[in-house]
Amino acid sequence: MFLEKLKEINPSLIKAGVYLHQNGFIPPNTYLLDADQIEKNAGYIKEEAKKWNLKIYFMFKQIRNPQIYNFVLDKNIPQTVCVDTKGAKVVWESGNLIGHVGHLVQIPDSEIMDILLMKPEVVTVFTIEKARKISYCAKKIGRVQNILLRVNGENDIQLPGMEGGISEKHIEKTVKEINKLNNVKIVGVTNFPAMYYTNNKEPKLSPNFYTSLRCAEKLSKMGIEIEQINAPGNGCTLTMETYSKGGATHVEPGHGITGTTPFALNYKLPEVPSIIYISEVLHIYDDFAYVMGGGFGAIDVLGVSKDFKMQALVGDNKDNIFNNNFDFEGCAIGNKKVLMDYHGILKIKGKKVKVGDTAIFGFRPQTFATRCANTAIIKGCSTGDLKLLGVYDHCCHRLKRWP
Amino acid sequence: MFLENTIKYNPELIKIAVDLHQSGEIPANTYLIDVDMVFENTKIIVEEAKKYGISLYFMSKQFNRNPLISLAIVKAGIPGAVAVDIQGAKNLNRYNIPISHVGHLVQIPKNEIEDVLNMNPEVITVYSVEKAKQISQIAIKNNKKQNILLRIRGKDDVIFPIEDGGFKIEEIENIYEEIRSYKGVEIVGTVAFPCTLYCDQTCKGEPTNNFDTIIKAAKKLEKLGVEVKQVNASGDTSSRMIKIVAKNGGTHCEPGHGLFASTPWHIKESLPEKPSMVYVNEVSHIWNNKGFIFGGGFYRDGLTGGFQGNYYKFRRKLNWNPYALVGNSSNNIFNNKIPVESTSFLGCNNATDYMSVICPDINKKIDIGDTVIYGFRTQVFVTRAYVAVVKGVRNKPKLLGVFDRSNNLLDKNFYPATNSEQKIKELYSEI
Repeated sequence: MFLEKLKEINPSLIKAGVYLHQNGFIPPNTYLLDADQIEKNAGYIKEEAKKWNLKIYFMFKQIRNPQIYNFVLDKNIPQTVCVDTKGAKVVWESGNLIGHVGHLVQIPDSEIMDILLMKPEVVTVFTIEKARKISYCAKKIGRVQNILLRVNGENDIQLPGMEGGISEKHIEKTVKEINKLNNVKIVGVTNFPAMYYTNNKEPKLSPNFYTSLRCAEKLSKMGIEIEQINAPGNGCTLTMETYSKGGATHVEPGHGITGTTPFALNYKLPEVPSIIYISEVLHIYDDFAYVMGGGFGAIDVLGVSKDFKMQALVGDNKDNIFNNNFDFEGCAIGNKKVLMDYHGILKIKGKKVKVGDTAIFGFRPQTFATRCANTAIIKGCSTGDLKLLGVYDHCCHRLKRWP
Repeated sequence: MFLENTIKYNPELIKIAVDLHQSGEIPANTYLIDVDMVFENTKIIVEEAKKYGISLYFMSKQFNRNPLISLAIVKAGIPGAVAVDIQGAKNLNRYNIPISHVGHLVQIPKNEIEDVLNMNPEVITVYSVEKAKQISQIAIKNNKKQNILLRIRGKDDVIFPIEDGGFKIEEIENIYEEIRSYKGVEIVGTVAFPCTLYCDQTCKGEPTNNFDTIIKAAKKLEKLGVEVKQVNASGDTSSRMIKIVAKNGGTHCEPGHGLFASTPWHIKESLPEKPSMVYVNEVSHIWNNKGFIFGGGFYRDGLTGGFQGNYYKFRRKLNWNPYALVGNSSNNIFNNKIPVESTSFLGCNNATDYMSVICPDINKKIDIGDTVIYGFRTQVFVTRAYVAVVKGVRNKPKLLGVFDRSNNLLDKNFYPATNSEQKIKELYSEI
């Protein structure tokens, strides 16, 4: 999706990628992160959020890597939202603070205490039972844990596998029950997605967001002081105004950090795409080149027309890679949906390719959910002072074989 | 699909799974493996292979190359592993598990060939002249001569669309001349996949066309003067399949699902191997009368690949209604069979499988925090799940360790333990 944008506005990242791979400094099946650009992108978002009086929890699942936090977060401010307990543990290990946990994936019972010990600013609950379990654990450490309610309205967008929450119809009844618990305190609401993903022309708040607003009002009427109307989804410089005017208090930019929101395709945003996926041609058979897989499993395709063809750049140096575009067939011939992404398959159609070439993709990634993709982080790719800060496996362990 | 068999043949594993999850010793989203049962299953396959003079390499992707399980398999008599890709090879080598075969499903990237050569694999499979050349150059540099297998592709072979490639059988003579000139490699045999599969018509394992292709290719190589030491013929390999491999001219095969009693043949018949792995999870929340289970480890029960004949007819005949066991103690877990949407084994309808599987039509009570046990055909290396290893399931249970998906040992709070290598080597004495 972002390959053409990358070629246009961040070509030095592509050059660095082919150089690092061809010289054996990074393995294939690696997402390469441009730390300088990511730092700038995060800065633009923070500035815009401040202007519109919004607080930020950054989402890192797209680029889960233990060093990236240094370039995005302000020390001593809980500015992170964690998709699951594993995500929270990686952030915590890196020495950063936890803002929000639980709104996409609830905390499993036996890990509630681990999360509470991180002192998250807020924890989201979908059910009375989970609130009860959190209250029980919080009591043991003498805490009253601030919680958000994930609410759910009748006309909300329900993304498959992410359904859940407290139904708007039952909100008063549920809140009365939760209010009986001594060690949790309701401070706000959340719902996902708060903005449409399908419309990349202009930011448009979703029915889910309006459900949050209505529920917050009901809570206010019950005497609850609402500190947070949490609005995750599509957070980037372009959307802050809409969120603020719509009544949100907290936003959760994720793809904004890497300049890979759908809006980045149609607008000239300050955020610049700053992540590429790097692979290697392993073999050629008939009219197809097979590149190493492991990172294809979790590609989001958003904001492009139906006939959009994903592509890759192929070459063995920075001069021959830019004009050598290959159509991406998928992970199986005929783009069949498969679960084992051994290979990515490129259509050759008479173009120049050989075993060992670098292949570069401009996906919208979810690195935490890939089969086994590495992440590598670099600085100085645009200034000619290239530094490779580290290569990490899909569980965020530093790989010893690589710098 | 294999839960029925697990209830029948390894109920103790299910009981331990509930206990370990409810006590917080294993996290939600964990594959729990019974190391003793894997050891026994391996011994059965090894015995049969000895009888027929077949050599074995074990496939480890189904259990995410766990070092403790791999060691148990080595101790039970399979001397080394086949690594599906470079990640597999490195994962196993990190914990000193011998590597026998690399490259037959995914070729080795060029800058990591040296790493693989240093693992001293018995054979490396190549798909192209270029890859043979790359390996040869690096072998010469390291004063080695590497034995290689040629992956052969016949016109009518069974090919999974994710892994097509290799040498066309009609090209053998030409590429042989080319590869023979590379002094760092030596061709010792042929390989293809799958060479044997369970067949719904005959209700037993049968050779595929691919088997015929590698035999023909081996004969061609012999005519050219190659001493063929290996005809590597895998697919649904179990103790029962060994005879079929031998009878059709194979010399080597690579059991994977057989070690866990999860080949299609194990559904239809009681074979000697018994189930040895369950997927353990937890009820996250309930919404609209559906139970939601944490995601990360679901894998579509993909028997279509391990099959000859009409898979859908096979499934209809089985009248298979997928379900999970749900409960909060080993006393009640067997009483509560909750139906599962079969499509939801895929887990991820999106790019991410946050919360996965819906148990629809809750006609029995389930609670948030309950343990959920599944028994499907696994490919743990594809998932975001944890792996835990337990021994003594039938006498004195002991949890040996919990691992993240890049095979680091985790501590009690599921953070990476310090010095994973050293601790795992200590645990080796338990196997």
